[in-house]
Amino acid sequence: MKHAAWILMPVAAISTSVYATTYFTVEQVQQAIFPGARLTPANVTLTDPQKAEIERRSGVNVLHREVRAWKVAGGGWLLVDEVYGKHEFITYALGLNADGSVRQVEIMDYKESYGYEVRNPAWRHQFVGKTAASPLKLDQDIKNISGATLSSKHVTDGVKRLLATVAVALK
Amino acid sequence: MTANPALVRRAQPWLGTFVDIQAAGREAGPAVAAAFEAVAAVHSLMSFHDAASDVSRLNKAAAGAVVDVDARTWEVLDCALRLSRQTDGAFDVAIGHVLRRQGYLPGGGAGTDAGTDGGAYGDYRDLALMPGNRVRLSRRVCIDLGGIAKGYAVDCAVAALRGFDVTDGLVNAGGDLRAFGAPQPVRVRHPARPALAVALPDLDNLAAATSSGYYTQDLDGRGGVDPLVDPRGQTCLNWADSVTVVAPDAMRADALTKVVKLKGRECEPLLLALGAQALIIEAGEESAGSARIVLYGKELLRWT
Repeated sequence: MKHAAWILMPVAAISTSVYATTYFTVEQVQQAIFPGARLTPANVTLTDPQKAEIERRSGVNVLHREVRAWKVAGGGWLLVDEVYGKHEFITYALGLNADGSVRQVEIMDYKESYGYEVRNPAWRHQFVGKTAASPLKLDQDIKNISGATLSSKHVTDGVKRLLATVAVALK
Repeated sequence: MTANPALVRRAQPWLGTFVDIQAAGREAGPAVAAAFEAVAAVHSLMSFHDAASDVSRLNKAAAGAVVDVDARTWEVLDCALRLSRQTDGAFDVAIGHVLRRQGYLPGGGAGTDAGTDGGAYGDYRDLALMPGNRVRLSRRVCIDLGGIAKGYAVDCAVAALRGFDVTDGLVNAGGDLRAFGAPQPVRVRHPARPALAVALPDLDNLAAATSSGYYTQDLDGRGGVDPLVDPRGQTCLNWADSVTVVAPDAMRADALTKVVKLKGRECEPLLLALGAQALIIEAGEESAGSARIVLYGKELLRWT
């Protein structure tokens, strides 16, 4: 049986604090979801009864009361929202058609942070090479990561919550 | 958006994860939009949760039924069943009932192993593909295409991109990715330390899929159980190392990660036959500052 080949590859830190990808600004995402449309700001702050009703209808907790929304001329809504995972922070936009159905969901900003580990010198020290005193390198060139599936459940729960929010607080 | 005006990069939630699509070229904008539509269609056909999907319709069908499915579902089942036969059932999409019982899929609870006709669920041998995109079930089944549909969606997205005037692109669905055009840099997370990554040689018109345990927790929050089911043992396994498979297409890479995890070096002939390479990144931390990667299968990557 052929012996398995193996190779030693250096590990590098994905980031010392936050690994982030920015996809869209608010202006860009408006154009992407409702190209050419006129959007009017329609932000609201949820009252206690509204918060409770949204939670009841969607089954999802409301973490902050400020709702960033725009009404689309001719019908429809655009909302910008944030969700938090264990290590991830995601800003996304939801476009709704005039009939209330989901038109599009776009991730605007993705941040992940294991930084609390990487910033700790004692933690970093264990990765110092045995023959060189070089510190753990920071990989500056990360664009594409292959790895186990990160769940988008937070975002799909957020969409459920926003649909209830539109029904309860914006219509 | 990036500074390069010809590069479009967007991400949307599909298939239970995030699908990141990027393309460069004159028609990058419409190409990426078409690619997301292709992903959305695969999501809709193969969702375990959606009652109208082909998967749900197959799972509700009675023993002996012949079910019409979309050509894309048929294509995925064809690949899955071939792999099941090649691996003697080590790869088997008909394990949804075990994932459901463990809480990785909805609908779990006592007694959910039995179909309503009182019999246990069948396995891959109870699925027969017929011409005209039909599937005959000799027993009731509970299939979950989660181990192969992401890869297939990536391939569909790449095909959509290539229908436009674009020079390069990369589609990444929750870590299952495929590049075309210019070679693309790819990192694989260290299995024990998700903040660290290993750089692979640039991916030259290849796909890569990685299966490891660090993002998997069941719905009760119990950590460490990777929902990789051993179809022969019908339980879920725990596995610390990370398996990356590189192959010409993402569906193959995706499905093979499960086979490599279960069979290890035993599947080297299969990897060679399918033109794929496995990379095992070991979770141990004995080599400070570096990770040991065991390689077998076809030598697709050029290490410098």
